[in-house]
Amino acid sequence: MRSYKEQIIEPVAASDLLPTVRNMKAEGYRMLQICATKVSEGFEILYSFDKDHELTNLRVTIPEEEEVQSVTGEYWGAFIYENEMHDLFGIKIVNNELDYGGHFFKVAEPTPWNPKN
Amino acid sequence: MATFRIGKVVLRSLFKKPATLMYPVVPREWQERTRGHIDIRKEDCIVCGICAKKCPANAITVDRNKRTWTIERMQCIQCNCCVEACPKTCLIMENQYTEPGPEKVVDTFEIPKPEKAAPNKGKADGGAADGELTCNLDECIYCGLCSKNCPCDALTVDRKEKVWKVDTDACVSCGACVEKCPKKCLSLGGADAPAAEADKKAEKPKEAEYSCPEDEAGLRCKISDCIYCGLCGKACPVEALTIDRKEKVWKVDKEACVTCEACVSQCPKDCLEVI
Amino acid sequence: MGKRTIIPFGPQHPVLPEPVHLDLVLEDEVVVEAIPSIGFIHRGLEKLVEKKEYTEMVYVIERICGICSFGHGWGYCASVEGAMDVEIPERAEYLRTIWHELSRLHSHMLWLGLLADAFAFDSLFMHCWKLRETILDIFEKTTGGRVIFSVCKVGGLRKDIDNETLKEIVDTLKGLKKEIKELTDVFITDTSVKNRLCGVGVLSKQDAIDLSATGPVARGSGLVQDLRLNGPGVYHKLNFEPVVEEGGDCYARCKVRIGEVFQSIDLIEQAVSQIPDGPIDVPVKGNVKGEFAVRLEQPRGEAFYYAKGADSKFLERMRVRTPTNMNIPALVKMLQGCDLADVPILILTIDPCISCTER
Repeated sequence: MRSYKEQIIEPVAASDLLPTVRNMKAEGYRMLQICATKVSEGFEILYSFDKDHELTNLRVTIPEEEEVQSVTGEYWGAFIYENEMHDLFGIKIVNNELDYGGHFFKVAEPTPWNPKN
Repeated sequence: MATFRIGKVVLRSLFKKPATLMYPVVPREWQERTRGHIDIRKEDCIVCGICAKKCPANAITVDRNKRTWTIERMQCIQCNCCVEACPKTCLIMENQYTEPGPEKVVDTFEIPKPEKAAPNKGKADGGAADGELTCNLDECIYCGLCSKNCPCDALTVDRKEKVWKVDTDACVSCGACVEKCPKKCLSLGGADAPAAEADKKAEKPKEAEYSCPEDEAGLRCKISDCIYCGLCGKACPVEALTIDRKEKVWKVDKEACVTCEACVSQCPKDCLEVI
Repeated sequence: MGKRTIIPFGPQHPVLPEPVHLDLVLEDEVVVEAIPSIGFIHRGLEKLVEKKEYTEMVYVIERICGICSFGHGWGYCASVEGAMDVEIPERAEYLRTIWHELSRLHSHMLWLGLLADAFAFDSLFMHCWKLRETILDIFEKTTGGRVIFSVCKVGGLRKDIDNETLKEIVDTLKGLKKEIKELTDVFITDTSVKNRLCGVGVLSKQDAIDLSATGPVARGSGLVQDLRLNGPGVYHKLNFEPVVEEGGDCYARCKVRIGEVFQSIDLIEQAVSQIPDGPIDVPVKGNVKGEFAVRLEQPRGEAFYYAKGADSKFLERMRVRTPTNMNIPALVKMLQGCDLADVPILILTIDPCISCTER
């Protein structure tokens, strides 16, 4: 049971994200976290899941202007991470079930972790 | 029904001494490892500024020109990094906290000039600036040990091109390289060079002394010339050599040694030979 | 349907040591809906990796939280070590485990005190914290700090504990065990305590899975979810079973934490009896290139660390996701249908650490 050193990161196209997440939910995976990284081609979004203490990650790479489908329909708890990504990086999330509209974090300037100028 | 289950504990506490100390009348007991505040032994400090570079909280400022060492007490996070980084071990972690107070305390220490430097100063005129690292290129063997030991990556040594360069902005004159140089051709401040040479001359007339009887076969070292630089140990393919610079020990495990002579060519003092 | 009222709860409230805000939608005295908002103290520490070298960053990460400081340092170091493919010596793994279990012990004692404080049982609160002081003294003796230890570094540890001190710690804990037992009996059996905890804020097992609850919250709902079974440390060499309760209410969560207090003491005893001699660190040189994600079971639940190197002395991304972050959706679910008077206790039973959440 000590396999945490094996890292599974599967690349997924943005359009396939929702069906993949739906399958994982049906298989009994728990959602762990979502985080974004600013890379040269836009954003890298890492979705982490857990089943029986094993970690599985999905990676979606999108250009900066593209929208991402919200996974709150499957995992409602993801609203925290999605609002966070929206407020700090300016990633556009659509169909978020609990959308704070940019007021989840009280930021002094918009998208502080991805400055526009 | 279980009510007032805590009664026993409360009653016992009632007749016991208080669990707290009467602060500030009763002083606190400090543990040996307690990270309280940083202190400095001024006379050993060489104002190199490595501590300021390593400080993750930027609490330390070192002014090389004014020879001051400044710490912002409230900025310091007691991580012990500077104590570990100091090449002269002149920083100490004291186990008492700084006194509480209404103001942010900034402590500045004036570092006295080292006594040795005073007489040299007159002679240094016309030579290299005081404290600047120089290399006697006639003696230099471009072994690169100095650059490997430099804590600030200020030295560039190219063996093939026979280049030895010091970045004077990066160099903090800590002396780490001077100690490591197998040829003793590095010096801090122009005046030190002749002194080092004089030392060398004084050493030469010594009688030759070997690590083992002259007729014993295998690798031997002319101990009287050995500077315990350890280059031979690094070159040895079978790890048969033990060198301790501090204790002045040079030892060969003759059973392990395959007499390949790899070390002989490495020795900067030509004091190794295989019989 | 009664008249709906919205009551703002927090960010400043006597039960909350840290700021979180909840809009409670009430129907008479019953909470129908709760909308959380955080972000009052967001510090952006994750962004700081771009300015601090990866070796220095550990001091920043440790300061995410004052309770699980050691765990954060460990998680960060483990993720960077994973990305650089560094194996740390066995003794260091053992010592990290021992310090981490001591942290769990002190965190749970602190929480038990806070819970007693939340239902206004102040002598219980004071006695819990009095015992916690003994553990803080152990920390000061072994690391030099009561709260921030600064012992973890990338590649191992900066300080060793000699075997004699380790035995002393075990003896101290054996003495402490009896005193802790007296207090935890109060939590488990006292009627006034049970009246406030039993049946309050039930979270079903299915909800715990769907809402990704973690730590004692998940285990209190019957979910076997303990990252010590598969994570860094030497837990695979120690003999233990996760503490799981079926109730799903505040009482079950309290019982899980009480069980873990004794489990931690037991784990420390086992680790001390097995600890090998040897070095405590390995030299680490060069830049971070790869990426690595590590999960670590902290007192509050699993924390997630993700390090991504940029082949320089600075990391490209450091992600820390703390347990409270995962438990907030579960909290929102628990609050639905509870009495207004129970809200403070319910918030407390997830052991919220808002500073962690807002790295």
